[in-house]
Amino acid sequence: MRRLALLFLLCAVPALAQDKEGLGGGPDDRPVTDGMLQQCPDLAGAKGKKKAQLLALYFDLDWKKAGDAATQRDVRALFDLGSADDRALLEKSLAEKAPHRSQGGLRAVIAAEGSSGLFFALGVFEKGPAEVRGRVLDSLFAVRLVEGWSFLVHCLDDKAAVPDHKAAAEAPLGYADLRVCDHAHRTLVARLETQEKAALPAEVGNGRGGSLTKIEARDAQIAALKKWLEGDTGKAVLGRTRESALDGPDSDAKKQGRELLERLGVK
Amino acid sequence: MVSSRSALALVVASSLLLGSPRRGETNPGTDLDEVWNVQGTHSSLGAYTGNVEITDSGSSVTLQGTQSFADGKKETWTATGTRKGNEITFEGPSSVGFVRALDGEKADGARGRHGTYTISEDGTRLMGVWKDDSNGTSGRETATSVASSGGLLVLVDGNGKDLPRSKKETDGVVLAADVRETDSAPRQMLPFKLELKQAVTNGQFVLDFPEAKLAVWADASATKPIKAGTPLAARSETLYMEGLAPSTAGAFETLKVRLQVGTTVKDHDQGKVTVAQSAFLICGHGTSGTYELDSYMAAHKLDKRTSPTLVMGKTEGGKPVPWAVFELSTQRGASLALSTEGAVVAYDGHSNFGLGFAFGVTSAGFTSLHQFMLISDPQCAVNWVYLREEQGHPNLMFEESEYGDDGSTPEFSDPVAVPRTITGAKKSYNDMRTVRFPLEGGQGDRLHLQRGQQRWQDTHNAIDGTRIVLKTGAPDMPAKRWSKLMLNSCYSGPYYYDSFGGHGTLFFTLEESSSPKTSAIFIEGCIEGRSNDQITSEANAEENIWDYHVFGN
Repeated sequence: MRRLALLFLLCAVPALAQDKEGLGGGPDDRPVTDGMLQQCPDLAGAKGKKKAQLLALYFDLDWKKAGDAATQRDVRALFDLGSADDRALLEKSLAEKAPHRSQGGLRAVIAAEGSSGLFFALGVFEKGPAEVRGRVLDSLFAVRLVEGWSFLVHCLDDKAAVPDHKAAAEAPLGYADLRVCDHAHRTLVARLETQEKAALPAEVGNGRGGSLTKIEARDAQIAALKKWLEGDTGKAVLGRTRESALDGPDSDAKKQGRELLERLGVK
Repeated sequence: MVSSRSALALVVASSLLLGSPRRGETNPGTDLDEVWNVQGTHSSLGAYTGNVEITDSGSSVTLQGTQSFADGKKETWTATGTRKGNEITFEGPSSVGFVRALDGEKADGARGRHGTYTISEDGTRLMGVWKDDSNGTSGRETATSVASSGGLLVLVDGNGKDLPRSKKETDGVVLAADVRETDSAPRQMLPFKLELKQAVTNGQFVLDFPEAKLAVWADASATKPIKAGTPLAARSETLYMEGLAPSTAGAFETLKVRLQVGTTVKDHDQGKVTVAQSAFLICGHGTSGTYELDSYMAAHKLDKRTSPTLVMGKTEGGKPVPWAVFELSTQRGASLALSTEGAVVAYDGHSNFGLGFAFGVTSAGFTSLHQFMLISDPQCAVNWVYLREEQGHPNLMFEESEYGDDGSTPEFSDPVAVPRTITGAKKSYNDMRTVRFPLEGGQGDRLHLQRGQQRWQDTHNAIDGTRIVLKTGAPDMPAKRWSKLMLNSCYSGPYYYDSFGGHGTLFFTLEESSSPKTSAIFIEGCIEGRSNDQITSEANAEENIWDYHVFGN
C-alpha cells in the first residue's frame, strides 16, 4: 500500500508541476510556429517551464495589464525572482538586442512582481553590465510604485554612458552613446506623455532622436524636464502614485531593497 | 423635332394623363432606384423600345438608358439631374451615340440629351420628353418599372458560402484588390452565380459594374474576361469577380445584372461588393516577423481567407471599411505595396545604412550593391565591415566605381557631408547631426578616401573610420502611391527621410528600432481608423523613437 502511495506521488507531483506551466496555470503545449521562432529563436527545443516563460515574455504578457490581478498571478506562477534560473533568464532577456527582444514582456514581469520586480531591476542596474542599463530603465515603464518614478527621476542626473556597440555600428554619422540620463529622459517622457497624458513643454523635447542629438541639446531637454517635474504640475502627476515598495511589514527583502535604494542614491 | 413649347405641353398633358400630384408637390414615398422599360418615338428614327436605369442619391439623380430601333440600331445615353416632387429634370453630356461608335465621339460643347420625366402617382410609370441639341433630335416616351425578383444574382462570401438574399445589398461581399507577389500566386477572386429559374427565349444576362474597381471573369483561371454591358446568353452559371482598386473608404460598388430580351428588361438584381483597402507588412532581412500582426488578424478576420487576410476596420470618422492585409517578403512585393494607390505600408527589417531593403538573404549573404533594393539618397554612408561581419553579407563587395564622390572636383571619391534637418509632426530635429551627400558640390565637410588593408576596409576616414560613402540612388524606387508608410528599421528618419519623403505620410524612427510590436501597432491603428497622433503615441509607448511627417500627395 505504501509502495502504491509512493508510486502515486512520483507520478502526481510532476503532473501537478506541469499543470502550473503557462499562463492561467495550465500546461503550455502550444506548438511553436515559425513566426514565434523568428521572434524568439530560444524557443527552438525549449520545453516545460522555460518554454512557458519564453512564450509569456515574448507573446503573452501585456505590460498595459501589469496591474491586473490575473497578470500578477500569471507572472508570479511563472517567474520566481528567488530562483537563480529565473533571474538568469530575465537578465539574459534584458541584454537581448533587436529583433529578438521581449521588452513588453519584461515590463510586465517587472511591474507585476511589485516591489520584488522593482528591486530585481534595480539590482541588475547596479550590478549588471553597463550595456543593459537603458533597457533596465525601460523595464520600469509600467511600475506603479513611488520608487519607480524616483529612480527614473534620479537617473536624470547620471551622465554615465550606456555603451551600445550595435547602435553605434548601425547609426548614421553623428552617433554618440546615450547616457543613463538620456535613457531616463526617453522613458520618463514616453511614460508621462502616453500613460499619464501629461502635456510637457516643448523645451522638454520628446525624448526621441537621442543618440544623434547634440549633447548640449540633450542636456537642455533634460534640464527642462527636471524643471517641469519640480513644478506643481509635475509633482501632481508623480503624486498620483502613492504605493511604495517599502510599504508593509519589515522583512529581509524590504531591508535589502531599502539598502539598494540608498546605494543607488534614491531618496 | 419637338419644340420647347410642345415639349412643355407634352409634360403638362402627361401630368394630367398620369394623374400625378400637382406640380411642385413632392412624392417622397416613391423610390426611383429602379430599372424601367421604355417605349417611345424618336423624331427621326421612329418608334423605339429600351430601358432606363435611374439612380437617386437624394441630392442628384443619374440616368443611363438604351434605345433600340426597328432598323436594328441601338442608342445609349447617360445624364444627371435633379428630382423635384414628381418631376426629374435631366441633362447629359454630348455622349449619345450608337453602340460601337461611342469611342469615336467628341464633345462639341452642345447640350446633350436633356428633358424631363414625370412620375406617376403610384410611382410605377414615367412620362418623358427629351431633346438632344448635339444632333437636333428629340423624343417622347413612357416607361414602366421592372420589379426585381431578387433571385438572379447569388453572391458567394469569403468562406465559400452563398450569401443570404437578405444580406446581398446590406452586407454584400468583400474583395481584396489584385496584388500578387509572384506570378504563381492565386488571384483574389470570389465566385458569384447567375441563376435563371426558367428559360427565356432569346434571353440575355447583362452585367454592369464599375470597371475601374472590378473585373469579371467567366472562369476561375481568369482567361475569359467579361466586360460590363456585354450580353451573355441567359443560363445559370458561375462567374468570378476580382478587385482592381479599393472602393472609396466607407463606400462600396454595386454589381448589377439584368435579364433582357433585346433591350426590354425582364428582371434585374444587384449586390454590394466592397473592394478592401490594402495594407501591407513588408518583411525584409532582419525583420521581427509577422507574429504580432498575425495575432491581431486571427482575432479580427472576416472569413477564412489568408494571403491576404480580410479584416473589418473603420475610417477615422467611424464608417466601417474592410481591409486586405498582405504580408510580403520579396522586392517585387515591396514594389507592389509601395506603388498601390492609397495603401498603408509598414516595412520591418534592417535599414542597411540607408541603402535600401534586402530580401531573400541566404546564409551566403549578398555579394554586390545591386542585390539590395536601392531606394536611397543619391549617395549614402555605409558600414561595409559591419554589413559583412555582423549583418549577414560576408562576401559583400562594392566596386570602386560605386564609391561616393563630389562630381565637381577631379579628386577620386571625395564626397561632401551636407547638414540637413528632419521635420516631425510637432518639431524639427535641427538639434540632430544628420547629413546627406550630394552628387556634386555642397557646403560641408569634404571626406577623402582612405584605403584599408582589405578593400572592404576602405573608408572615408573623416567620418569615424568605419563608413564609406557609396553612390546608391533609388533606381528601384517604384511609383510612390502609398497613403501612409511606416519604416520600422533603425534610424529610418535620418536614413530615408529624403528618399521616401515628398509623398503621403511617413512614420519614421530616430533611434535603434527593436520592438516587435510597432509594425503591427501601425497597421492595426490604420485599420481601426486611429489618427496619426494616436498611432504615434501607441508606438512610442512601446518604444519612444517614433515621429511622423505628412508630406501630402
